[in-house]
Amino acid sequence: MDIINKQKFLAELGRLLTFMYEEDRQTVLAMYGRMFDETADEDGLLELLVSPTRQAVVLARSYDAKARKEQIENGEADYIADPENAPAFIFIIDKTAQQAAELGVKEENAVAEGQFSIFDETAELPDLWDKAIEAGAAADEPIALTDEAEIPSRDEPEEVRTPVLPEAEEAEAVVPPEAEEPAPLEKAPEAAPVEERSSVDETADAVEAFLADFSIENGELISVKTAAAPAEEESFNLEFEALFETDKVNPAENTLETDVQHKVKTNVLLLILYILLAIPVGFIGVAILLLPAVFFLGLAAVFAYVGVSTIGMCFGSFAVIADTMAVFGAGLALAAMALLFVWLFIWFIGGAIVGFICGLCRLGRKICCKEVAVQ
Amino acid sequence: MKRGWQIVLTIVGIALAFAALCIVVGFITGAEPTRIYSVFERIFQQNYNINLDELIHAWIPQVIDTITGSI
Repeated sequence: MDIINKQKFLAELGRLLTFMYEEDRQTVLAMYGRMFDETADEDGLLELLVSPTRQAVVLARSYDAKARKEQIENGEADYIADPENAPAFIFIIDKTAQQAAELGVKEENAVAEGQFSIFDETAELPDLWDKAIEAGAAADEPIALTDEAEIPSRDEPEEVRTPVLPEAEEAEAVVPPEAEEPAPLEKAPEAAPVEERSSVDETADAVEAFLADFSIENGELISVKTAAAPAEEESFNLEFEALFETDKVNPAENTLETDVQHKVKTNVLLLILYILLAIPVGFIGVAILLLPAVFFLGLAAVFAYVGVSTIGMCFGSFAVIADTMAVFGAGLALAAMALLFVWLFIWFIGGAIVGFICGLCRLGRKICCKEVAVQ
Repeated sequence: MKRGWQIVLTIVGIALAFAALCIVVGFITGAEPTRIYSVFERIFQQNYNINLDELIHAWIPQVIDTITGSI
């Protein structure tokens, strides 16, 4: 990167940090922006930060996407109000800001005596810093970015600290061949149950393998591959940036699956032919089904009339109770049969005829339309 | 529709069972078909001026003739 200023740095960093949740990304950019605003030596700060890509790598190594997701879901994402829940990357940026402050502070931004500063407060909380170290940030090391050992390493199990990154295939595509060798970070998935590992985790493995190939020497971000061929650094950085390309619309969703849409393709000629055939067939079918429906309706009417009449007559016309009971039973049976025939009529109209028409439509759709998957 | 079938068949089943029970109990306790038939015949003659015996005997051959004629 030959010529870079604050705007370019922040724009580049913002583009690289799409693996973060939007809230975290905005926070990081705001903190780096404040660094630039407060520093008296912008060139010195740029020299300290080295490059946006390097800062992105540092943040990626300390970014625990799963823990952040849980915090956001539990409403604990506001670490300014609740500094105990501050994620590790905040401390890393804070450390960098402290180093940047050593370069000099603009007079108008100089903190007056007694003025409240969130960074001063966090610096006075060593226990929080220890928590950040436990979380895998290794944040007690200054972010001088002069040696690889100073970059926070990720020795913790993978399920504890997982950056959210794009598709595994894409990640694998950009991983250098050396990354296929079992890196120390690839041991983590073995600790986690295989069935629990999502595609996000698999992607994270690929990214960790990718990150394991980084080495920082003399303040320069290079890969094992670029160490052999420094001229390829530019393309390597591009690969890295491509690796962190995620769904920029809503990265918080962590949806890494490909968006597959289904489109329905209709064969118009076949559809017209089918309609021409289906209309007469439909009319004939409906007429055939209407015949038994009307027949059952007639039967229901006759049975209902006779049954109700019989039940009505039995109580006043017979002198013997035994006759009354027998006639009442017969009338009840007739009324029950009437109910059954009414239901059969309803079933033919609402079930058979409607089902027949719907079946014709479904058959037409099956014959004339085909679903095509479109990415 | 399946639920409708269940409801209707349940009601019809219960009604038919109750009807069968009534008929069986009626005949056990002394009901006679000839007496019941005579009562019905009298009611039809009074109300509709129809001789049920003639109606049945005339109607059945007429139906048979109509069916055979149509075939």
